[in-house]
Amino acid sequence: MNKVIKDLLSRKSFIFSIIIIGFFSILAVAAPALTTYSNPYLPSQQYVAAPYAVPSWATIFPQYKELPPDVSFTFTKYVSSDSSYVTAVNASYIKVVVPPGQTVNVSFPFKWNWSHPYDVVVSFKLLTPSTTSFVVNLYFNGLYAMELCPVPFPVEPAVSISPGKVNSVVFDSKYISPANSPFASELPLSEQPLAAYEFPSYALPKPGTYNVTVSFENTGSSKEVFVMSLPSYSSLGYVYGKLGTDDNGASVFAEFVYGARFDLYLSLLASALIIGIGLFIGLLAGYVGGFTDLSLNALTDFFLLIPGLPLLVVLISIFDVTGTIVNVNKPILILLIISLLSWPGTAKIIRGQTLSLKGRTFVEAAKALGEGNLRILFRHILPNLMGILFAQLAYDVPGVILAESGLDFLGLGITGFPTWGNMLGFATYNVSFINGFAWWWVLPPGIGIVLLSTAFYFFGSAMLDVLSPYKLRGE
Amino acid sequence: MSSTATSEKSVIRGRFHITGLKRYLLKRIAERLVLLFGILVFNFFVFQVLPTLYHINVAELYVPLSYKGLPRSELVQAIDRQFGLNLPLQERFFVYIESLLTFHLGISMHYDEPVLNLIEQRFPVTALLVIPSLLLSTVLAVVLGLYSISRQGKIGDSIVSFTAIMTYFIPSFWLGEIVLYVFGFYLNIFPTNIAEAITRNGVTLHGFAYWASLLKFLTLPILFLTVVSYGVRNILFRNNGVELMGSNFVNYLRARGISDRKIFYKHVTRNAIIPVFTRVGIDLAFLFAGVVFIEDVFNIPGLGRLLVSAAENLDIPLLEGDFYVISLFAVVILLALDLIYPLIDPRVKYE
Amino acid sequence: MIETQNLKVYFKSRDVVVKAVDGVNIKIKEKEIVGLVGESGSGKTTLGRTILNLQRPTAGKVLWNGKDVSKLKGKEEKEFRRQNQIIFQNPYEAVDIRMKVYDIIAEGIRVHKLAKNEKEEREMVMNALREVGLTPEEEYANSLPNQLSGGQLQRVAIARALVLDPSFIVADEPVSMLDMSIRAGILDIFQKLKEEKGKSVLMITHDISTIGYIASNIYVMYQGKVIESGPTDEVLDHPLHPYTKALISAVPLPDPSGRSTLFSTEVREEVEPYNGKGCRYYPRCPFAMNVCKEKEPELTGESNDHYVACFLY
Ligand SMILES: Nc1ncnc2c1ncn2[C@@H]1O[C@H](COP(=O)(O)OP(=O)(O)OP(=O)(O)O)[C@@H](O)[C@H]1O
Ligand code: SF4
Ligand SMILES: [Mg+2]
Repeated sequence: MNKVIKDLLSRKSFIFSIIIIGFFSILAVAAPALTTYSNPYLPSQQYVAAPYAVPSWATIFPQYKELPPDVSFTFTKYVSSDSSYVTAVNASYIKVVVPPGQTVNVSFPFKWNWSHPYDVVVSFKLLTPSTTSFVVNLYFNGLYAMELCPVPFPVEPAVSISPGKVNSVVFDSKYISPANSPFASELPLSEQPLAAYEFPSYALPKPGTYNVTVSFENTGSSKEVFVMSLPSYSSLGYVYGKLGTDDNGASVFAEFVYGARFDLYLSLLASALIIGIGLFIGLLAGYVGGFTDLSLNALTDFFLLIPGLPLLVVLISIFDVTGTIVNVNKPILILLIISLLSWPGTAKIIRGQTLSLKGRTFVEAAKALGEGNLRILFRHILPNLMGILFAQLAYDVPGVILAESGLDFLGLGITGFPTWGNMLGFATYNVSFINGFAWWWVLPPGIGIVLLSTAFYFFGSAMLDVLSPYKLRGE
Repeated sequence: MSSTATSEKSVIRGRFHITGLKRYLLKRIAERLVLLFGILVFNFFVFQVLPTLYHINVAELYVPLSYKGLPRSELVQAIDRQFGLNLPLQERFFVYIESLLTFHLGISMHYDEPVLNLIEQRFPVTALLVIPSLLLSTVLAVVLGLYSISRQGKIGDSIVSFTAIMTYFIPSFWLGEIVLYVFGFYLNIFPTNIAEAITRNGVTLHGFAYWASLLKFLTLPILFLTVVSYGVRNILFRNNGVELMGSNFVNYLRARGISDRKIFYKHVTRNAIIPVFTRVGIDLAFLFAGVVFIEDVFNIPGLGRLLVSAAENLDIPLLEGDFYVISLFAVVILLALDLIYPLIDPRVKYE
Repeated sequence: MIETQNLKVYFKSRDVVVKAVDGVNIKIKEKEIVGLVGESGSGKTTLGRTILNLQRPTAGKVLWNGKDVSKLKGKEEKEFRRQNQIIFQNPYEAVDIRMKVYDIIAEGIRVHKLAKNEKEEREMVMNALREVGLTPEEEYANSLPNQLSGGQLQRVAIARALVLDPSFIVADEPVSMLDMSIRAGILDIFQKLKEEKGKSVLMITHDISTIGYIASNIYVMYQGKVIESGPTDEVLDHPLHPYTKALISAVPLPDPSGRSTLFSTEVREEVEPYNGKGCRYYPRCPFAMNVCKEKEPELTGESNDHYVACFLY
């Protein structure tokens, strides 16, 4: 055993394969610890940053340097036109007293170090007086972002606010329209539909110091008292995490890690199944021979000859469209179909090796010693097939990964949770002139597939070399 | 002394050779035909028996979910009558086999055109894509293989072999999309839209100009297909060559005083290339099924695309016809291969 | 105890029928070493394998104590296997090189449940190793086949057969793959087997000189047929068949008895291919007559127990 390990470790390609397989296995096993998003395809786990956010380390490249990360904070400083009107209630609330007919502005300054973000969200709690004679406005620097009016159906673009109650005020640039934001309604008509996209770039165009201003206007004849919480600011940036985000602003790293988990899982399972079927058929055909061999060989040829991928596509669409198989879940269906269509190669190789082993003198010697067929199979044939079996197990993994990705890529496979295949599908589908090339999303799953496949190939070859005492010829 | 035995045997062999060949041929043809029949039965099972088993009217599968605004139930009934789909399964089977044998492959529901026409239209496009890349990649495989063998174990060999293995595992649809983006959109070297490529000022080109433009459009996919498919052949060639270089065969040639150059370029190459040819033949047999992704990515209206769209639309007449033609082609090529193989490989006799 | 009756083994490969064994009758009695001589490809191994029921005969049968070996079942078959062993031509191919020497030898003990416990099994294995001269036996028991030389491995193969205490052993050219210097050692083992343990051996060889020392009877095979047989001394001193004479004269060793000079028969260049019906040797036979081309000579008794198939006699 020791010798085997030594022999293996002396091969560079084996070391390479172990490192790669080990790396991805660790990713797969540690997935829950590495990321909080277990299924980034769920809407609830999307928009963790802007769509197409670049990886954070990519900011070392000049073209990404200015891009903002996700930012969120609560304002602590405020300035007002007249400090006697504004007093702190406690660490997070301030009280604003507005004399009749007057307007009091409270400004919250903050420093912004990047180009504009994806969206801007400002939220605070506001206790309003119980009259209807006031208006609260929200400005972003000079931009008139929001108008809050204490009547049920105010004139657009004003938004209603309940008097005498604690209101949750949220300004979210993603949802602004001419109906709820003066900023949008003041834009030229042609630009109004794009208001949500344009607001951040108007509000925070470049690094600098900016103000969010809440302006309290008392239109009545008696003094009004407002209490508001210190607002919190948040915005989704164009820089996120280790691998950025996809078109839904979901974490690509989470997708990649969970994709690796699924791919490894599926491919090992399918390979085991393929080996199982292939070993059974190949051993039976090769060892028993005669008519058994002939018919099993015909069966193998048959499965080898049917066009696998198109058939896969057809079967899955038939199952899908007709709903014939409803209570089997998709991954299991895919697992079964891929295994069922992939075993012939393995069976052929095992049959060939069995045939070659069976004809060897040492097997005849075993027979001469009085060993029965089963004993010969399990003591002499199978152990000598170990190398081939390991190799096949390793060789089949890339095949399964590629087949599964192909299906996912065509949109016929799994879509509900990330796999490398559907990542590739979605990512490449989004490669276009307009979207540009989200390399941080397009490249990882493909590179993952190539590296892992190559690693498994080398792993298999090394196993074959080391574990096959008899140089077996395989095609 | 043993020469007696051998020469005697070869005499006997000589006498039986012709009948042996005939028997071998007949056996092979019979085997392959049985296989083809098996596949047809299987197709029948998938397309007709399976749905019936699940109480689904096959005619519904013949009709796309929406078709020219006509009410679906009406179409279903019409098709039932037209294709005899309400007949019992065993009768339908004979109708099915008869239609395949007479090449009456029916009319595609999705394209509203005879299946045979569709296949005829697309065949040249796929051929124009596959055959040049088949040649190119074989040449590439052999040239790189020769380099590897001559530098066996050195860094150059490692790099070449490693690259070959990597390219084999590249998901073609993925790299295809990237290549298309980089060369087609970003660098704008190749046309990316076939409709634009084969028209000038809105008029479809004809004759030579048509084929030339088509080829120009296909250059990128051809090169791409070459790169993603040379790997297996390269590795096959290299490993065979390396094995041969260390074999007694080469030692024997050396002992006879034949120069290393000649051994390498003549004997080793000739022997190592045999498995490559077999592989190319097998690739050729599965040609149509193999280029599905590339046609999909590069938007090439070839047979692969046809098949996928048939599958996606569940265009059963097209599927049945397409599968039939593909299997027939594969069987014919494999048969041809069975016959040619012993000619190129002296070690294999008609067995 | 073992005899073959008109045994035929034909191989059909491609369209050629190879008559590896073509109507052979041989007999091996108890406590007897019988030699089987013939050039490469004459069907010696095939005959040996068929005798041990490792190859199905095309026609004829092999009788073991009067029973057809191909019809043995269950217990009887097992007993047949235990009592009749074979040692193969190439020791490297005859053992499973993944297994330790100990396991290779113990395999038979386990199959036939000859040992009551592990201790007994160990003892048997060690004894067998000692018997074939592989000492220190502990060291050999733990080694793997690829750590041994051809001669040592052939001894392991012999030990594997001996551990079952068989009564008959087919030794298929047990020394042909080995160096001259170690051949005598291996042959001595067989000599001892006969003398001390009373075993019968069918000693196959293509080198007639090795057999002279140990065999009491000798069969000469040519292309699937026995063409001469008889007591060893008789055959070696008075070879009748031109082929046997050629074999003896071809012996490369310095021959103390000077036999080779006595019968220096040159072998004719093959002038024409075998026509399928005459004596199989006629294309090479310097004494070929017309009748030789027309029909095959039968094996006929010449003098006491000395048989030959040749029209010269
Ligand atoms: N399993 C087999 N299948 C086909 N032909 C066989 C088989 N075994 C032996 N033969 C053929 O039968 C003939 C006799 O072979 P055999 O091995 O018995 O010769 P041999 O006398 O033992 O020769 P050697 O001295 O080289 O061992 C040869 O022509 C050989 O090719
Ligand atoms: S029978 Fe004739 S050919 Fe055959 S060995 Fe005797 S003399 Fe020679
Ligand atoms: Mg032999």
